[in-house]
Parts: sequence; C-alpha cells; structure tokens
Amino acid sequence: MTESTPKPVTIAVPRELKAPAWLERFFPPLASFVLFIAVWQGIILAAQLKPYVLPGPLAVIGAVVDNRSSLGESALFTFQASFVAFLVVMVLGTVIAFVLASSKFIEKAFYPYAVMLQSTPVIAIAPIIIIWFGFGFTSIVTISVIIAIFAVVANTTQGLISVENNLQNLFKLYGATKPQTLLKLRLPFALPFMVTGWRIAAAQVVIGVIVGEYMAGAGGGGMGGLGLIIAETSARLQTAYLFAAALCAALLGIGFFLVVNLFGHLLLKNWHESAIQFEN
Amino acid sequence: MTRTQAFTERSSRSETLVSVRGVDKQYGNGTVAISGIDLEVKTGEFVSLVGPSGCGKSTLLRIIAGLGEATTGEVLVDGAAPGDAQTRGQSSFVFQEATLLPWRPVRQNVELPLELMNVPRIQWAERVGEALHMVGLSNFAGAYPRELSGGMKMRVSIARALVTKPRLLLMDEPFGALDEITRQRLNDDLMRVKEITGATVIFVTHNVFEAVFLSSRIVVMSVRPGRILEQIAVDTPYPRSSDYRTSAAFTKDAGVVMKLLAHTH
Repeated sequence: MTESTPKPVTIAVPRELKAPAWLERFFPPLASFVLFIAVWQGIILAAQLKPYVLPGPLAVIGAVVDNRSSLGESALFTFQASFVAFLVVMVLGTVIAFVLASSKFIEKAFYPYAVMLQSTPVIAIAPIIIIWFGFGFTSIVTISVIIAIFAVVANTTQGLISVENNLQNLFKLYGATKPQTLLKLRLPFALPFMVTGWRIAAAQVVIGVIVGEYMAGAGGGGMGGLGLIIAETSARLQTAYLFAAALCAALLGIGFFLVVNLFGHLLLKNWHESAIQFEN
Repeated sequence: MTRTQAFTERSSRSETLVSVRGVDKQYGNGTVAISGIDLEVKTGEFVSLVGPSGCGKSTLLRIIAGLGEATTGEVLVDGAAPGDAQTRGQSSFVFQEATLLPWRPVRQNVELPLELMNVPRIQWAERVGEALHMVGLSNFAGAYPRELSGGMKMRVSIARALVTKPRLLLMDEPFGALDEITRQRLNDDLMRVKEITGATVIFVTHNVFEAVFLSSRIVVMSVRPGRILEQIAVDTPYPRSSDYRTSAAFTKDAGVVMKLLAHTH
C-alpha cells in the first residue's frame, strides 16, 4: 500500500547565512538609514533651520547622552507601564473574546459596543479616566489598555468562531467534552489569529502608554515616563531633548514588538504557514 | 427492482447493521433534501450511494453518522440510534477533505479518536501503528499535514477513522478532490483495508467507475427530492484487483448505472 514508494518529505531548512546573504539582508536598510541621516543634516544646512525647529542628528545624539539618566528612568517607567498594560490586554482581551465567542447572542449584544469603544478617540476618554484614577500609573495603564485591547478581542473572537465545521463534527462524533473541544480544537485553531492580535497590541500598548503619560503623567524622577518628557520638552522648546525622547519611545516600541513577534513565531513555527520558510 | 430482490435473498443470512426506515429530511428553509428513504445494509457489505449533486446522498450519510437528524423516520445502527454513546467509535466518518489538525503531526492526528474516547494510553502506540501500516504511512508518523500530498493526507484521514476499529465506515466523497491516478490507487488500497478489517462501508460518490469497482451494491438516487431510484448488486467477488477495471463485467455494470443516472434529472 504505497503511493509509488513515497520518499520522506524534507522540510526547508534555512541554510547557514553566508557573508553575501548577510550583506544582501542588511545592506538595503543600512543604506537607506545613512541616506536618511544625510538628507536630514542636508536640509538643516541648506535651509539654515534653527535648532529648536529641527535639531541635527548629532544634536539629538548629544541630547540622549546629556539626559541619559533621566531618559533611562523614564524609559524604564514606560516599559513597566507597557508591560503591565500588555499583560492586562492579553488576559482581559482573551477572556472577553471567549465570552463573545461563547454564543451568537452575546456576540451580537456586546460586539457593537466594543467597536464603539475602539472608535471613540482617547482624547475624549482620558479626562474621565483621570477624574476616576488621578494622574499616574493607573490612569496611564488604563488608557493604554483601552487603546490596545480591541486588537486582541477582535482577532481572538474571529479565530474562535471560524473553526472549520467538519473539525467540530469530528470532535462531536467521538463524543468530545466541552473542555476537550476547547483545549484540543478551538484554542489551537484560534492561536494564529491570537498571535496576530498580540502583535498589533504589542505596538499599540507602547503608543497607548506614551499617550497616557502625555495626558496623565505626573511626578519627577522619571515617574511620568517618556510621554511626560515629550510633553514638557515640547512646552519648553527643548527640541533636541524632545527628539531624544521620541527616539527612545520608538526603540522601546520596536523592541516590545520584536519580543512578542518572536514569541508568536516560536508558538507557530512547526505548523503554521505564516511561520514557515518556503523554498520554491 | 428484481435486482434488489435477488440481492436481498443472497445476503439474508448475514445480520443487518444499518437500517433506515421512511426517512425524510427537510431543512429549516423548507428544502426537502431526501424523501421516503428505506435502506438496509448488512454486515460486510460495501454500499455506494450514487447520484447527481443535490440528491441528498451526503445528507443521508450524515444522518446515519448521527451528524444530522431525520425529520421523520427511523435510523438504527447496530440496533442503536446513530451517535449513541454506547456505540461510539464503532462507526467512523471520513470527510470530503482530510480535516486534519494542522498543528499535530500524523501520529497525533491518528491518536485523536483514542484520546477523545479516553482509550487507555498504553494501547495508543500499537493501534496507531496498525492503522498507519494499513494505509502505508508507517514512515510518516512524524510528518506534519502540510508536508503531505493530497492523497497522503486522505490516507491519514482514513487511518484516523480505522484506529477505533470501527464496524462501520462512512465515507463522504473521500477521493473527490484527488486526481484520477491517485484516486485509483486509493481505491485499490481501500479494497485491501476492507478485506483486512472486514468493516462494512457506506460510500458516497458521484463517480460511477469508483462505485462499480468498490461496491457490492450501488444505490442510485434521484434529485429533488432525493429518493432511491434503484439498487444494483455488483456480483464480481472480492478481492478485486485492478484488472477488474478492464473486465467485461465492470463495463457492463458501469453501463447499467450510467443509464440509470441519465434518468435522474
């Protein structure tokens, strides 16, 4: 009973990256980066811009160095707030998604309000949150959660309700219990959708914290995070410092996203299309 | 109808495994899928349901599996209602698509029924090994579904159906999406699986040649509403080799079925 003596299937294994491959991968972004810096400096020289309008790349690096302890403390605060907000988004978002996916009625009853919450600008919600929780950590995390949670709720719900019909029939035929169906079918089936939600939320959570700090940040010694530095430096026209804070915020956001991305990749690498390297 | 009578007499010694009496199925939107279906399947038979699309052959199969309920009439599988907890695992269903869990390698896909039915873990390895051996995939236990061809995926699906050692195998156009060469190979292999396991098979297809090659009896259904038009006994004894495909008996029976199908619209 063989299909013309099938040979074992080999999985495409990425070859060891050789020097040309490295170059091929890193040269384009590096080249565009150098070009970007050059254009930046060039514009300042050509248009004779004042440093408080647009500081040069060297001035920004200088501001990072000068304010390194303050930036470090603030970045740590922002990271902590982002981490807590991300945990809340993961747990609360997943729970809400399971509730929404548990019945068509509940989904129809509550999903529109989730969309409505998502569509309301944070600017409108933030003052209420500050009235309730005051300035500081709680308000900042809450604002971030409101911004980021929808991605997890929407994607997880979508994953849970799009389980293939015949797979459900298969489980039914063998008398699977509800917990069995949840753990062995619905959850793994929804996982690629959930990972997508986590990726989006990872980026949004940092943005949410910065926005939260901008509006609800308080306290010295870095206790207002990078968002508060951005708010203060823009008021004082300390533009180079402002750029430095924005740069830190961007790096933090990218780092956060990459970690979550890697985690998702590790979860899916064996089986899901999105995580497999194809060789044509 | 004389053909049906001749068949019933010949097999009257064996016991009835599936009995369908006066079954109608009307969907919520008012569509009558099947109407007045009477069908008896005896242990060891290979019965094919053949008919144009929309004749309700899949609907009938799903009712026998316990995946859908008849609007009226009665279905008994081994004396119990389909889907009854007592008889669980005694009938297996093979879907049109392989319906494998992509996150599980082949072995764990085949283990699934044992897992869900709480079969003691100590028996798994042996039973999965047997099932994979029967479909010729012993060397692929560790492969993921995405690494397999369409034909191999379907073999995994069949192995999964066999792992509970079912008495009744229900197959819903399992080879419909495969190319002709792969389909014929899987037909040959299914023939062998049936010889080894002795399982009774009810097989839905719209391919006349496949039906004639595999079946001991062919049930021809008509469309809107789905009714049984006629039943034809295929007399060539088992085991049937691939030479049977080019024999005169094969051509004759295929001709009879095709002539009937021409009147189903």
